[in-house]
Amino acid sequence: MTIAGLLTLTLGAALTGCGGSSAGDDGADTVVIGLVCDTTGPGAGYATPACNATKATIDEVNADGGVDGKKIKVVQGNDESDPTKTPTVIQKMVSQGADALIMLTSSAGVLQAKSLIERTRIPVFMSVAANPLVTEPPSNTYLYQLGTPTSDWARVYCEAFDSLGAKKVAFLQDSSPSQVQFNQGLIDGLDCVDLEVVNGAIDATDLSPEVAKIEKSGADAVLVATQNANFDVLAQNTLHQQLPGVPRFTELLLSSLPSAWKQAQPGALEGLVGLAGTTDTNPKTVEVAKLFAETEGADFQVNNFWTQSYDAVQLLKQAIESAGSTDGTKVNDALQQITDYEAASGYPGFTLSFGKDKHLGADGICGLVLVTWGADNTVTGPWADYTPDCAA
Amino acid sequence: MTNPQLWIAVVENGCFFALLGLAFYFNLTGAGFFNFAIGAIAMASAFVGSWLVTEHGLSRPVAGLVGVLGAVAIGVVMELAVVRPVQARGEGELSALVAVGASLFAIIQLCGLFLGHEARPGQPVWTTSPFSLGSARISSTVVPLVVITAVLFTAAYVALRHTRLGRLTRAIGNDTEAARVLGLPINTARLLSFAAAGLIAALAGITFAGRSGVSPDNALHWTITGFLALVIGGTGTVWAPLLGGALLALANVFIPFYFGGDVLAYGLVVVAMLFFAFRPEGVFAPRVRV
Repeated sequence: MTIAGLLTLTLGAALTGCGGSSAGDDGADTVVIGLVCDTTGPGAGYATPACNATKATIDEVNADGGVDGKKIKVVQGNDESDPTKTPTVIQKMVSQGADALIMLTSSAGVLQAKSLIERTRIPVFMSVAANPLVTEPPSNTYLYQLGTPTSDWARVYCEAFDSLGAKKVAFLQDSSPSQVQFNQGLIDGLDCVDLEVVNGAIDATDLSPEVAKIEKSGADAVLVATQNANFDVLAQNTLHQQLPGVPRFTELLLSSLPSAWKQAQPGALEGLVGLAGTTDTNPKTVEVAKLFAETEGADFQVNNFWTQSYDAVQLLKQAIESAGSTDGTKVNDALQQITDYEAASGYPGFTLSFGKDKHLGADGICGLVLVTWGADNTVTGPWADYTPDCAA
Repeated sequence: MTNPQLWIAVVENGCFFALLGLAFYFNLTGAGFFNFAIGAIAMASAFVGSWLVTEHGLSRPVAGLVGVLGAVAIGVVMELAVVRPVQARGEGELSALVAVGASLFAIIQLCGLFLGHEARPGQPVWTTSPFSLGSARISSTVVPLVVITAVLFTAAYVALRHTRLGRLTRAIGNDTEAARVLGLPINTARLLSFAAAGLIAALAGITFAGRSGVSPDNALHWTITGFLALVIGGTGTVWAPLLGGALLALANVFIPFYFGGDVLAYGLVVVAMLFFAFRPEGVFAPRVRV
């Protein structure tokens, strides 16, 4: 067979979904999970720990006997959060026999690949993504998210701003297209305050101009909205120095990246309030943290990237065992039967449920924890001024 | 434009951009060559220095010294192993530029491969305590950057204008073929220019990284920034990159302030195109004796 012929067959199989179904033969002695880890692109900050967590959980599952006696095999790819590469990476994994995909990459790429995912007919988890557009129709039959959507972030921020009496809030975001698109849902939800949106270049060497604009606007509080750790740290350094009395908030990334805290200048993170996904008041979080600490060492600090990645693997395991098959459609149907799964993230009582029309797992807003930093630039614990309610 | 904090930002950024421009200038003067790996060399010295401090417990001065020596070594190796062989094969400037461009990406990938792609905290050798100047706050890296810039530009001026080796280097950079006919030590001068450029880039990178860290992703941006500082300032005098850096910093600070950060990239493209179109030799053009 010529190379061109082989390519045609492979591409054709992937596009028609044959790769997925053939890979899902019940007689296979392994379960193949395709893992897209954006470890060298702009999402490396969150994709790297999430990727490590996913692989560590799979190792744990395999050591514990596997899934219905079958070992999980990982095939790994990397689209570098480049939407033009995402379909190719997905096709490659399907051609390698993936029974399910875990995508630790930007939602922009997955949004572009939705119709392709629909044709592959295998479940796809966006374990740590928060863009609700990913799991909205059309072409969402096989797509699932575990993270709390940005609309829930907005509810939590609104409650937090209200607790401070902040009426006018500056929203400092990096102006990369993917971030602006990601933030739109959050901005729409922040109608509780007078929002002043300020854009900064993602590779800016200085954010003094942006902070000067915020100062001029007379904002009562500032929310830094970025998935880029460098931008966030530069913003916090600048805000701490130039607007020391103004309360500062940040999105989900910084609380989950202890390595980035060291980039901040001494004391620059003190008083900052950030979204997080874990608290040690949740016994399951503590249990999962102990599990990872065995391989990651005593200094390991658990965060939502680890817990959500853990949950994604466990949910897939549960669905495959429930389906009694690795056939994509059967596993997908089984996934949609899972309700009230006790999550390793959030406050005690936070659960995940799925259904035919429910592809966002979070049941309520108590999957979110607001944490604050101390003078030594480390997280001291949950923010005392407001706690999300599981019943809300 | 009356906010003093913005002018402090202009000074701080201007110094950094000017130092990167000065590194470009040294390569151009001594070797007649644009070294597009300057940003990668600056990044690598700061990145490796940070890795040595955080992962191996070295003191900042020792890690800084390793970073600087490493940058000098990269400069020398680039000349010996990349630029000189390509030019010796008679493949021209374009091939050498492509090879140096590939070196830039090779340095980025090697740093990422061996030390990780995640950003690391900056480890400047010298910082000051933050202080107020009027209503402006001066961060810990401003004074070191200003002092290092002043020292390096003065040293560069003295070295190139008032030493025999400096005059030799300029002569070779101006007309390499004539220098070759005259039997001047071209290879030595070129080697020194690459080493000096590496030294300047390293000091710039290590000091500036103290603001908010360094990652391999910084390399390309820093290269473009240094190149633009040289394009705007020109090559007519050693002080030209200082002016170019200052003008570039003005654009970097006031375009976002008045038009928004998302306009910055477009604004810089416009500034660069204006210079390419109407003043390609920069503000300070080389004087030619007839």
